Amino acid sequence: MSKRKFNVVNKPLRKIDAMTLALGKPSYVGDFKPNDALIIKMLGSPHAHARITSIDISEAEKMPGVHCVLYYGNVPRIVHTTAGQGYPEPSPYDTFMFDSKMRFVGDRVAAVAAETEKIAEAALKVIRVEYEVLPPVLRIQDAMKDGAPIVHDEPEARAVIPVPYEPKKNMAAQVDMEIGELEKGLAEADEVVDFQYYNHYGQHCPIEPHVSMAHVDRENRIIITTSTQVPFHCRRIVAQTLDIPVRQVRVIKPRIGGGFGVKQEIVLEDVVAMMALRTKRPVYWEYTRAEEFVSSRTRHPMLMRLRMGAKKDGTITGIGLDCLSNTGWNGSQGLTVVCNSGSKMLPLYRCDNIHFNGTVVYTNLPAGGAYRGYGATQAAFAFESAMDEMADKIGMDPLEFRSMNHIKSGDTSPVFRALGEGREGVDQAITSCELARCIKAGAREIGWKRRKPHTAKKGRYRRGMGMACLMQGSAIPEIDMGAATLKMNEDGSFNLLMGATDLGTGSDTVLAQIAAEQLGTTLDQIIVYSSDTDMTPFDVGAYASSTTYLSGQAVQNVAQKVRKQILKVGADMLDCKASELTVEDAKVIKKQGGGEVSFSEIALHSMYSSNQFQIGDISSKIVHHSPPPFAAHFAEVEVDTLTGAVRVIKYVAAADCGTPIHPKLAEGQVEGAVMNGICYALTEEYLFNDKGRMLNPNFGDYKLYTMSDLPEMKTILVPSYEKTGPYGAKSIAEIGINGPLPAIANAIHNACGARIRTGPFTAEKVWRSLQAGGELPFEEGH
Amino acid sequence: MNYIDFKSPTGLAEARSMLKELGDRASPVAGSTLHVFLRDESPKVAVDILRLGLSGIRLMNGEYHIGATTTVSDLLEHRQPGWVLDRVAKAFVTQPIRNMATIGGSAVRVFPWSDLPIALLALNADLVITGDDERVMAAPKFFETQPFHHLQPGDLLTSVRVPALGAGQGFAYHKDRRTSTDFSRCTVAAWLALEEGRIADVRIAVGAAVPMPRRMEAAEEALKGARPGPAAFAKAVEAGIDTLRWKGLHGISDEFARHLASVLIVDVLTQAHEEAKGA
Ligand SMILES: Cc1cc2nc3c(=O)[nH]c(=O)nc-3n(C[C@H](O)[C@H](O)[C@H](O)COP(=O)(O)OP(=O)(O)OC[C@H]3O[C@@H](n4cnc5c(N)ncnc54)[C@H](O)[C@@H]3O)c2cc1C
Repeated sequence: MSKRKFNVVNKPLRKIDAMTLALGKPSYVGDFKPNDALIIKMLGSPHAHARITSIDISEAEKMPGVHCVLYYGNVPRIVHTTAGQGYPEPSPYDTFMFDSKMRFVGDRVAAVAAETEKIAEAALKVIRVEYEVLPPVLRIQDAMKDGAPIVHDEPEARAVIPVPYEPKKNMAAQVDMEIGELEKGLAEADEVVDFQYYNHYGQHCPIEPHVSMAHVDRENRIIITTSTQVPFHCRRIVAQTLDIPVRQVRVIKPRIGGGFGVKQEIVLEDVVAMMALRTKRPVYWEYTRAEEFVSSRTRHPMLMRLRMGAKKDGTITGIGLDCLSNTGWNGSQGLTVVCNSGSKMLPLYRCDNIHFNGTVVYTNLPAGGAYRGYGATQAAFAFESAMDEMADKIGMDPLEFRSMNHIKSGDTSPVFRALGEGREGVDQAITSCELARCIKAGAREIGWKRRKPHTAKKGRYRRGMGMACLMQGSAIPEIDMGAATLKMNEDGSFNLLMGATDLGTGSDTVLAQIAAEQLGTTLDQIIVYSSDTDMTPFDVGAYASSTTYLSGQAVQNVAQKVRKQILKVGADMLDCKASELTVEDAKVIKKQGGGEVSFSEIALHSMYSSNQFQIGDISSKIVHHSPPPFAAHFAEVEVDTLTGAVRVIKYVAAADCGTPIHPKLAEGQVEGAVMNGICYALTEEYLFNDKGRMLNPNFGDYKLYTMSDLPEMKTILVPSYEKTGPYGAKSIAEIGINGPLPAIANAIHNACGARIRTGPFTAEKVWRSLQAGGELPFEEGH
Repeated sequence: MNYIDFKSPTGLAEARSMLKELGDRASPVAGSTLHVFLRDESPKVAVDILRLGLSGIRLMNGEYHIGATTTVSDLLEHRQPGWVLDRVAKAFVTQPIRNMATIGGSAVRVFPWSDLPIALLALNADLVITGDDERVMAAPKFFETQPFHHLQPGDLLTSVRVPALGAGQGFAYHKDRRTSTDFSRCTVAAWLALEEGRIADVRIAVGAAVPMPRRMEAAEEALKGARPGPAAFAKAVEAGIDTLRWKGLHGISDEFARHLASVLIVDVLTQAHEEAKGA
């Protein structure tokens, strides 16, 4: 680690949009809804699996106030993926704007655009549909059984990159990798653990659900304003789905009320665009909360088997991880999520014999998608639970067991090359890792020394401590690209135009800080505009923990170029060489003293006086590394052994994200992710009936934590300096969600001896496990 | 609900005659918080009853007289010897709802999970209905069916009378939920009176995990005259638990709901006993 002196970076400055948002000024898609917008409503399938045998929209079409009804019979049938990923997408093409086959309860039957919401709803009621109901696949382990109903039997379904894809077997993707020889590794072990774990459904629950609007302008272009993390992918996929040229589509992203991955998906925009094109009226579509739960995207549930062998001295001799992932009715992000389950956890501990299998299956349930953690959350649960189970077996303190095995600065792992995102990965050595210090700081804060085995505990209420170590990545190396444009104005301010997508994280502020630092000016001189496919350069968007690391480097590069231009004009004006000058406090000054010109004078000079040109540039960045952030999490819980209720007393998250560009926002990301993870571990749960209908798609019954549920939480940022990152930064936004499941599971075990391997850790599960002497017969969900 | 008009009478008689005249075309409205749960779509006139002078808490002859439009926030903030409803009001969420919701509105339309009815059963409250004459109904009778069935057009619940907790008496209330804003999975309340170290009288009420808030009389009978303590409480629960039908909510099994209730009833009995002892 090296500590640098910064002027703008590494400071908790006021978030640039803070006042606008706090004052409630129009910021979000819904704030810009035109008064004359038609309202879109969607008729959802009542069946998990069915074929429409007849549909009659005539009565709905005739209803006064109804302008358009779309269904499979009057839109192009173009197979595509809804996943907002790089092209060609690693997700299979298995989705149509509308289809005659229904694949989950809530699947698109027909959409209505009408003058009011009431009329649209009334019109949905008079659409007559008859279905041939088909048997559904409702459990992950039934999907690939012989004779299972086939979710995607249409001939168009295909993978667009060379990966295993067998829709006739409900297999949406598969990846398999072996380093060394797992069986040999297990044979060499003194102890072996072999358990199954199950990660449940979960939803991102952004306060702002999916919302989009569109209109057609004078030139017949479709202008879509939408709450998206991926404006450029959105433009490409909408054009593809409507069979129109990309140039006919413009996508604008205003402020976003939360995404967490769920808006890395084209969920509304195709229909919104089609409706605008058909009606030539502005149209508006906003998901209800129930639709957000069922029809948007979720965390892929995974059934995992984890095998681990270790010697008595703590050497890990073999690790096997098999993930069976439920991607629901479409294969969106299925392959890459499961790849991440391997690539983001398996390098964490040194081991010569590793086997990984990820198999992704279709079911007739809600679709998985991108969700903070992206597969690492699932694997971390299995892996970090098993680390504790193994530590128990070999009689080692779980902290020591982790400390002696975890990856360190300078190390590499064959997993990095073996597993990429849907293809081979990239070799990399760890260039910054302060995990050891994270473990130390976290242990001190939680009071790890007080930890006693569960057998030493008595009484009804028992406390226990658990921990987990984590890693993630920072962007997808050699795939993702970000770009930024910077131009100077007369008063010495700058427009920073970016495709990068602030979804509420504060990335606009972070990226402006990077620009200001590089330019030698202050944050208030940077006017940020993101993102608009007509105005801003391309960026893949906000995902894969990439914005600070990847888009940050694009910004740093363009600011470097612009700084050079400024120095050149300064040299002209001060009649010296550029190398004699530097920038400071929005001025160009002679290093040796004796002359300075302000940025404003420079801008005016270059615009109006001599050698006129626009000071400005554009820069793109593709990265070759994905340096992992690291974290050590610690939970202390109290278990009521009579009711099984679990209460988190304290949670400590120590994280190494390189240089935190904005320490407060970085802490906020950790706290938000941890809280997100704690309620996912304890209370969030999709309940389905036996026909595949979700029973609790509302905040009354699907329980999220509110601030009043917050346990004592401590976030410790342990700085390192990642030399490949902008000002030493790595990522921070995702990693925090991966800790609570394993840390709390381990703490519950340490409190009372109950080992819970199926999320969420409800009181009933803990109680049943205690009834069964700590072990519960394994019961996976969907 | 589908309101087509809003009337704001300023006296009880005026409100009653308005409601009587409009019959089932009108509905009294107090805090109006319950309306999100009501599915009645027939057009109705809302008759506001918040300006009738029906709010306030007064202690008379060992009994608290609580006006029907007293808000849950008022119940929470009230402090006087023998006042216990603040313990119940605390479990009622959230603060904005507490500020609006009234004790009357809570009592007239009951859900299995409604907080106040469970407490009123355990406290053996009396409910006062003002119609052409005034009727007083004891809680078990009042909550036997949906209480609005007791009301004719023009009848209003005007007050709730709750005995103040006396010496040698204890009361405890527990609402079991996953988060602070959750619906209850199981709610239990116990009131208990000691005489010479024995249980002279006891009432146990449960809600949420049963179809309607109910007393558990068999358990009460088993405790009357007994020496209080963990063994007696557990035995009483055993005697009473299967007299009610347990229903698991929010993904929990019926079996676990029953188990949860049996643990929590012992808990509230223990706490009520502690209070009665003067601990
Ligand atoms: C977000 C939310 C959270 C809630 N949380 C809780 C909770 O934690 N615990 C809980 O128990 N409940 C809760 N509730 C429900 C709550 O019980 C009721 O909302 C509330 O107590 C009803 O009181 P009110 O004054 O708002 O009644 P209103 O909504 O005004 O009326 C309810 C019904 O009673 C009738 N009525 C009202 N007063 C009288 C009267 N004096 N005489 C005759 N009829 C009358 C009305 O005609 C109507 O049918 C919650 C509700 C919401 C919306």
